[in-house]
Amino acid sequence: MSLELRNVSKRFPGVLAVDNVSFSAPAGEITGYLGPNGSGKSTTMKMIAGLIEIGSGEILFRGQPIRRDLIAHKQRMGYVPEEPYLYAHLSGLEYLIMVAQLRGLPEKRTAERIDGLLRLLSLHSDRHSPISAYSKGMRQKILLAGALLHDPDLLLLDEPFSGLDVSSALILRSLAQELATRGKVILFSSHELETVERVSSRVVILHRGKVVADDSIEHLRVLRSASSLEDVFSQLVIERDTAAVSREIADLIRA
Amino acid sequence: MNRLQFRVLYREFLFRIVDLELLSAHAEGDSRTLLGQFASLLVFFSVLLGIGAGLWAANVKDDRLPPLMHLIGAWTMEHFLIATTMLAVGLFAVLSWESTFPDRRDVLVLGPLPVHGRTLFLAKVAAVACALGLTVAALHVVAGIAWPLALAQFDTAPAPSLVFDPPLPPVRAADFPSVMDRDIAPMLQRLDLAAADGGAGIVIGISEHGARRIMAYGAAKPDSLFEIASITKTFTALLLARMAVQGQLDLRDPVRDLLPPGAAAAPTGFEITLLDLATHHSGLPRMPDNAGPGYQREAYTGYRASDLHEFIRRHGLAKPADPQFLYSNIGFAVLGAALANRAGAAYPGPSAARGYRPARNRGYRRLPFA
Repeated sequence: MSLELRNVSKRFPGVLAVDNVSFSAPAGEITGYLGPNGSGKSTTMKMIAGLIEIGSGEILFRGQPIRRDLIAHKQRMGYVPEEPYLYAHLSGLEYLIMVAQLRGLPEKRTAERIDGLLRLLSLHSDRHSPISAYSKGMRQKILLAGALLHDPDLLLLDEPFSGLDVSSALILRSLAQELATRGKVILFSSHELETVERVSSRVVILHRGKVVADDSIEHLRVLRSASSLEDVFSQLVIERDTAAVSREIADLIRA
Repeated sequence: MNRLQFRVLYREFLFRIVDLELLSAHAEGDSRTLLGQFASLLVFFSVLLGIGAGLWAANVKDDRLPPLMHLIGAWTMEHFLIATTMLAVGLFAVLSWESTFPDRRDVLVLGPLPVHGRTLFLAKVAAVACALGLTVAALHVVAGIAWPLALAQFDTAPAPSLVFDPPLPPVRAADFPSVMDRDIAPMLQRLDLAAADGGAGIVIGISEHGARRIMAYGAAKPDSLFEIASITKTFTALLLARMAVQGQLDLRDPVRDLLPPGAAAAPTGFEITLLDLATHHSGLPRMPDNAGPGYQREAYTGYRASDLHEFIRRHGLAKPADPQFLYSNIGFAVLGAALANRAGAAYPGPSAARGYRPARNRGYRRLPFA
């Protein structure tokens, strides 16, 4: 069981956001999906999640093209988007019940599952408050709970640590590893390279819509003679001297 | 279509349609409270209308108004309720427009879920239809019962049938009086015009190959004097046409050329022509500013030739670059005065001299505004 992208491209008016991307994310491990801003990570995630149409190429899950039966694909997939869009007038509990009903999950078992998730994610005491009153981290946890409710085979995490406190981030990191060991396919996109290095065994690095690296972190470090994933990332996608740019900014605001 | 999904989305969309800022501040996310508040607002308005029905029923005595007036009253109220319903539905549509279509939030929240697009669409349509239905029902829950009960207390005249009379056969002038006697006399009685203040009546004159007949009904007599008001414009325009055909003037002549020397200063730009005045494109106002309000009789009867010339001298005869149509009484008065001056006679002298003579030279009162 794996997720596989074959020559996937996506063009928006005037820009080729994703350019002939191919990689596979096997079950049982966390695949890090990295790239600077505007490199096409979120666009790829949205295509895998079925939110936007695939421009060209094919995305396969369990060997089957996802667009052949998108509804069945969504039944097996959990997605935590980069932006925490929710129905803010609902309470956290109402939102999760709505998600469970739309997924057709059995009522009794789901109620227990929702209750457990809310407790474990420290949201139980706020479950009846409207989401509009939630902090960004709390919204992120609700999204995570919604993505896990149906025990998905494929989990797409797009910047999942955004707004989370240290404790919650540690829980999520461990949770991702635990789910991977239970045979799930996890595609994990983040700018926090240190975290990615800790949880992922292999990474796909995207730059200007193209894949510039697809390998295990260990192998990449050896290849690039780098001490960390951050060094590898810097060599592959950072085109400017960051120290010089920061000096220029400091000079500019002082002038 | 998955029924459970439809129900869940329908409930969600229905709530969002009435998710108005005004109400949600108090509802605090409780959809039942929010819907209840919205319905209460409409029912409150319906109660006000219902109270109006009660007051109307208590104050309007059956014997004080004829059945026809009751019918007109019932129609008026029906129209008001229909118009109110349309207004409420329109207002509702404007307020809920944003939530009627899927937005970015819907795509990101519902997109990753296994929901068919058609389920989403049908749930939206059902929610909008239900919300509109509830709005109309709440708006009429009291008024829709109170007004029919209030109106049912009185006998109303049967509604006139909406059919056209068959075309009448041609009538010779000699037979015309008998036809008019048959048609007009009952109408005058029915409308109770004879009993109106000072009496009311109709005079009809016909002319066929020299045979002339005059018929008078109601308070009018064959030799009654009538103010013919703007009908004089017809005479003025015919006179202008005849003088143009006879070569006495050109329709494109500036009107200033036909007025006494020094009547108005020469404008620097465009000048008002005779054609401009005849077609109400002169840029002159409807009424002169040195007369009373147009709806007062004195504004017409008390206006003298000296007032007219004073207006012309002060206002001038310049034409705007792009004059729009504006029905102008003073414009035709200027035209009449100009034609009279060219013909060397006092208005309405020229028309009378050229054969535009009303029957027996009566029934024609000169009005200064042509």
